Amino acid sequence: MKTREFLQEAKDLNKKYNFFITINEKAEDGIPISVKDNICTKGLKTTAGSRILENYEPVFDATVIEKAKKSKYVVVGKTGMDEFGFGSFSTNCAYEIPKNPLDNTRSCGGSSGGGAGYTYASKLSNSSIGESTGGSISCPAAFCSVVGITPTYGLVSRYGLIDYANSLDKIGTFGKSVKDAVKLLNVISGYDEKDSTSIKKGKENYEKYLGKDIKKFKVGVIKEFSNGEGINLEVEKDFWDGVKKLESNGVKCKEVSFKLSDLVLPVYYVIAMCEASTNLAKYCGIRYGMTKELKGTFNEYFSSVRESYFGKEAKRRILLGTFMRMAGYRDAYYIKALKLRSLITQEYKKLFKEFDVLLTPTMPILPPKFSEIEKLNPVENYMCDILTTGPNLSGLPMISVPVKKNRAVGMHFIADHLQENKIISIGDYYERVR
Amino acid sequence: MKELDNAKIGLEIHIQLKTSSKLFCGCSTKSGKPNTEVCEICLGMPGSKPVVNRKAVEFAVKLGLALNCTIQKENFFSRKVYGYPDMSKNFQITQYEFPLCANGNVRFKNKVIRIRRIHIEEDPASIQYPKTISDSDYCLIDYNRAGVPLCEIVTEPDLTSAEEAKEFLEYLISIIDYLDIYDSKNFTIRVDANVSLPGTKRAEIKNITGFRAVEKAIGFEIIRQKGKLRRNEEFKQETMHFDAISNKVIPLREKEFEEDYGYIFDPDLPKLLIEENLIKKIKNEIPELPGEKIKRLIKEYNLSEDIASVLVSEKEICDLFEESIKKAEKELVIRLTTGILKKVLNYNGIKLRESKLTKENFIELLKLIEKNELTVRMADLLLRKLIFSKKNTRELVKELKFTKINDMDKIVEKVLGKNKEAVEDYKKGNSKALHFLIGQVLKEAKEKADAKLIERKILEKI
Repeated sequence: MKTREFLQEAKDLNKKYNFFITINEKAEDGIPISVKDNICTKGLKTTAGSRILENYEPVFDATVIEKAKKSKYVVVGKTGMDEFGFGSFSTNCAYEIPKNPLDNTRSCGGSSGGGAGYTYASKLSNSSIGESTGGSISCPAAFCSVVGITPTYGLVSRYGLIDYANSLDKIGTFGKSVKDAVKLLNVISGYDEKDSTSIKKGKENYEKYLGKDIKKFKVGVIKEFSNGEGINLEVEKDFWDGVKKLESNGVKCKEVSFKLSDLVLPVYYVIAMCEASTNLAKYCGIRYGMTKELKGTFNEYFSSVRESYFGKEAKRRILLGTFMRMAGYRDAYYIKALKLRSLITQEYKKLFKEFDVLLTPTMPILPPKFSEIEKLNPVENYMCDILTTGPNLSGLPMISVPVKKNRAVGMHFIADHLQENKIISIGDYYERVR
Repeated sequence: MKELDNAKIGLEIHIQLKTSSKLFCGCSTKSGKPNTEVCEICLGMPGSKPVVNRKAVEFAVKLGLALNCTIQKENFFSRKVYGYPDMSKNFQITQYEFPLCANGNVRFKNKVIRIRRIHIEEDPASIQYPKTISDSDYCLIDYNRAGVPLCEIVTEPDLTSAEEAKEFLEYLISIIDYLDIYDSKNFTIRVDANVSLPGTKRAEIKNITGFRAVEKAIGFEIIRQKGKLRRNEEFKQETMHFDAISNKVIPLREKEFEEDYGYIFDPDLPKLLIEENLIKKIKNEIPELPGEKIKRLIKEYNLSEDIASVLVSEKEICDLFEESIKKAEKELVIRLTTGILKKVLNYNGIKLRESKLTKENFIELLKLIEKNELTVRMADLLLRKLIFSKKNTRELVKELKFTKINDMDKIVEKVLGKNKEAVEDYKKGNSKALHFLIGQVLKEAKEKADAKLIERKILEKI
């Protein structure tokens, strides 16, 4: 594909929707993909949505970028996101806030908002590289009515991913269809010795799981996450219509209870914030990123750089995360959350003995209007992640598939570790029968 | 010194492990031009991730086994979070709850010094100040050192005096030397010492470098605490700095508690497993250590404990001793290894392993002495050359034109014949006359002879 065409389209779309923080003017010919702005691209500005990295050009490519380049992909641009991934609506972005291509008064979700929106709106690019910590691929995929795959933790190298919470961060893909998302996953997945948490495992061709008959699959629909309070009525109706579609095609779906459902969100936020507060320590205006006039002691200088260039949500998470790992609180929050995290994973493992796939709606709400988001307090904001944080905490593979074409509600299929085959097969099957 | 014996002293000793690359990246540990041995990982660039250097882990396990520690099978790394300009990530990757090695002990003299823990961690960058810390307007940071593997050894407070602390440290370093895991060339050991007396609160003296300084710093700290006790002053937990130039121990800040670093497990580094097989393999690689060696030497060669200790303090000298004693007479070998060789090396400030002296040359030297072709005095002069020379002993003997002992008789006879008066004077009891005669022989031999030997020869002939 010719460079000029997709660059022109990206610029035009950007005027309307602010999908990109940076458009890659140096892009050569190739298959155009967009990349979340927290993934390092050599010589191409990478801000992670933060002012503190406004002028930052990485000196190296992330492993996923190296792999994509080798497969003839080119980076159209770096997509808008919540600062360091801190948010569910991409409204915590220090730059222009991306808008939902289905309705530009609404959020395209977050934190990988720009990439999902662009994948929906572009006629020239079919897939995008996103990243999820607590649901940052599934959420915008649902809100922008595209497919989002969050693979098993460790399947895709994180080398070159700017850390939010390293034990939770996963790079994944968006696609206009399941097939599009799978094709890109094929390219970027695989063991990488530069990421110590990368899984040692031979390369797999995920395309072979497309077009499968999955009638033998047993699907567990998690009760607590699919009914009643906290779930928007329209979402609930759409979701259960989707479940009926599966059942009428012969797939066995059974309601099942997830016992630790009320613990998932607090455990996620404690761990994510503790890790984030250490990851953000390095941004202090010395070696890279924004600087200020050198004045005072180094402590005064660090503080003044950080005060000026971190956004409000980043500061909140640094303060909360630091607090929760300090003496006297560490055992009550951080250590306890680590213990609960393994209990939550055990709970999933139990369910996977009975079910091939677990199913919930992706988001409990429809994409909110920007005016509505302004009114949310932080806790209400965090509550929106209730459905996605569980599988993210346990590093499980998941896929969000639009309940219907052009509808901003997602069917969220979750499988056991390294069973990408199952989420791909059922996602693809659902796409065909919906 | 006896009155100091009630002190409780614990040491935290940092050594640099002798790996060719850094602890979490592939950069070299050799120091080059500032900021040349760096990459995105040791500079803490966004997106970079650490990968553990297995060699460093194995070295630390080796040390742990040598110090009778329990080896932690499942290891985690932690982030110790604090901001400082020498910290590329503003956290240091270290170990916290679960150190690699714990609960060890070292037999030292007639005591057992307990080892609380041994863990590995990365070194921060080095900071250079143009003037003193407080007078400098700016500082320069060299990240070459950032990420270099360090090993921290923490003892229980089982030491009781400054002198004992210094001697223990020397002994510990000799053990580490034997294990061949320590980079002594590029790194001076850094020690933090915790010192308290009955009735005082513990003070930590940070960053003392070198053995002598450790003894001094602890000594001054004990004196300082005693003074406070005498003046009935209140004690608080303190962190001190030892200034080696002014010989002063200066308070730095009130002691921060360890936990305030807000440790979390480093989520980029998964559980590191140390398998039983690896432990076995490393155990087999541990050579005979100083403690056992001293015992064996005493038994095998019938040596005194002092001699054995001197030999063992440097592994290579001990090896040389054991090789030589097969070929030469024991007393001579002892005199040359523990006495002359050690003195010559110390004078030049090098270790035997850094010198050019070969086993063959040393044994040749011993043989020449035994054949009466060289005196011990000449051997001393020769060793000064041999430690820096590629030439062999015989070549150097020729070059130095030593007067052969066989030629000496002729010279002595000649001098005695020329100076009959002096001979008579000596016989009458004038000892100065003997010195005159020795001087004359030396002059004749162009100084290349041994005065003691000449004296013997003269006395034989008078």
